[in-house]
Amino acid sequence: MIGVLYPNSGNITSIRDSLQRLDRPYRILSDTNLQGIEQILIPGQGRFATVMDYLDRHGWVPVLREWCAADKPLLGICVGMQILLTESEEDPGVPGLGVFDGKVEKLQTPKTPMMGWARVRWQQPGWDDGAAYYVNSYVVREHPDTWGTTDYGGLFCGAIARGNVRAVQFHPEKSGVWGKEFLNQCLIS
Amino acid sequence: MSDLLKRIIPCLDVKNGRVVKGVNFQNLRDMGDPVALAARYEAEGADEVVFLDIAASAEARPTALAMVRSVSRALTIPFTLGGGLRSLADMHAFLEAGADKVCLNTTAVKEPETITQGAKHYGSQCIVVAIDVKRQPDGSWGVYTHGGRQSAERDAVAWAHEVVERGAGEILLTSMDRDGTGDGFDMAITGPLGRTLPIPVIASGGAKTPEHLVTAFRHGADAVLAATMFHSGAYHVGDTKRFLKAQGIPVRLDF
Repeated sequence: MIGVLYPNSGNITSIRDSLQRLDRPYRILSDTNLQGIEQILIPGQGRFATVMDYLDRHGWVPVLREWCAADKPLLGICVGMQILLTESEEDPGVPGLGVFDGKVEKLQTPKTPMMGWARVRWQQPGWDDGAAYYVNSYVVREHPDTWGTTDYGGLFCGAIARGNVRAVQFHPEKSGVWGKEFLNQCLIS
Repeated sequence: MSDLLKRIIPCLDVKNGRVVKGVNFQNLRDMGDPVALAARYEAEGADEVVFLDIAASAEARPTALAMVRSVSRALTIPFTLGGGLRSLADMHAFLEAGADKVCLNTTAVKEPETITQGAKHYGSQCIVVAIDVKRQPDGSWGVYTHGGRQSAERDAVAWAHEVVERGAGEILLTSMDRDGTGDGFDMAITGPLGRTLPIPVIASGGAKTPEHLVTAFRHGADAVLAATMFHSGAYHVGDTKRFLKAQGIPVRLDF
């Protein structure tokens, strides 16, 4: 069973429709009871501080840190990726989960948010080339755990991974057939 | 160097949960099921879809929301819902139903604070502001509402900048002079705004051929909206994209 963490930021209608299309049983996690949960999915648009505030108030911070330290399956999407880092320029002073050491930076490009399709250059074998849908104003520039990169104002981490803890800056649930197959590969069966 | 691709966005006019076609919203013909048509466009390579509810009303709201729910279950690409959105509550309802973005037009002009509040509550990336423009005698472009019939007494460039300041994530710029003519986009206003604004600009109004799209992309549009060009069957989205690619325009071809 997949547990979907809903940090009250943005809506999860798209990800729920996506899970349904992929025939994946899931449960929206209303508290930190992870009985029967084999993979945690953290979707979301929204603000770093808003999500971290929710996680903090509902006791998720130590639970998620422990889950990731045990290398249990987790997939973060968009801001769900950013909160795994140590900090973000979006909200200085607000600590992230620190699962991946590093900083989320503001895009310094003529147009923000980055909105649209862009290729992901995979750095691990076994993942198909394709274009992913991005909509974000903040990125992780460089990281030893880079899984895939995309260029917008320079290369940034389109995806980051260490063992079973994986996260993507793009929205696979909005990335067409490629995105659907990508999710199918990432999600536990 | 940038990997960001240009976007092709078919636009479907809907009324009471059905796709309609008509001139100036009169003599409407039922063109079919919006979910089926949008899914077909997705399969043919569309990057996003825009639905414009041309007869939005309180009575028609449940039908519109049901349509958005169905679309959300069927599409795996982003879609925008516009037409008759008057308040934060309206935006909330459609975003919750599954729309990725909501588009404000008349409401943005009459109550610009709606843009600010929408961006604040849902994020700029969810808020598209449609700006309908017409050339003025003095060489400037004026903003119009109500399907291009009413002057908003506002300069298009100044309004576009205000819209950006208020937190809109994207602008849908429609030339009401060109709309329905098939004479191509009005690049004299679309180009400069596309090149200078710090948010994406979707060119709209007048697209009839793939060459029109090439021009728009070469001169600063981030995306193009087209209706008749594709609905008529004259052009296929996928073939158009392959043509664009051959002309050096970066577009998504894996679909």
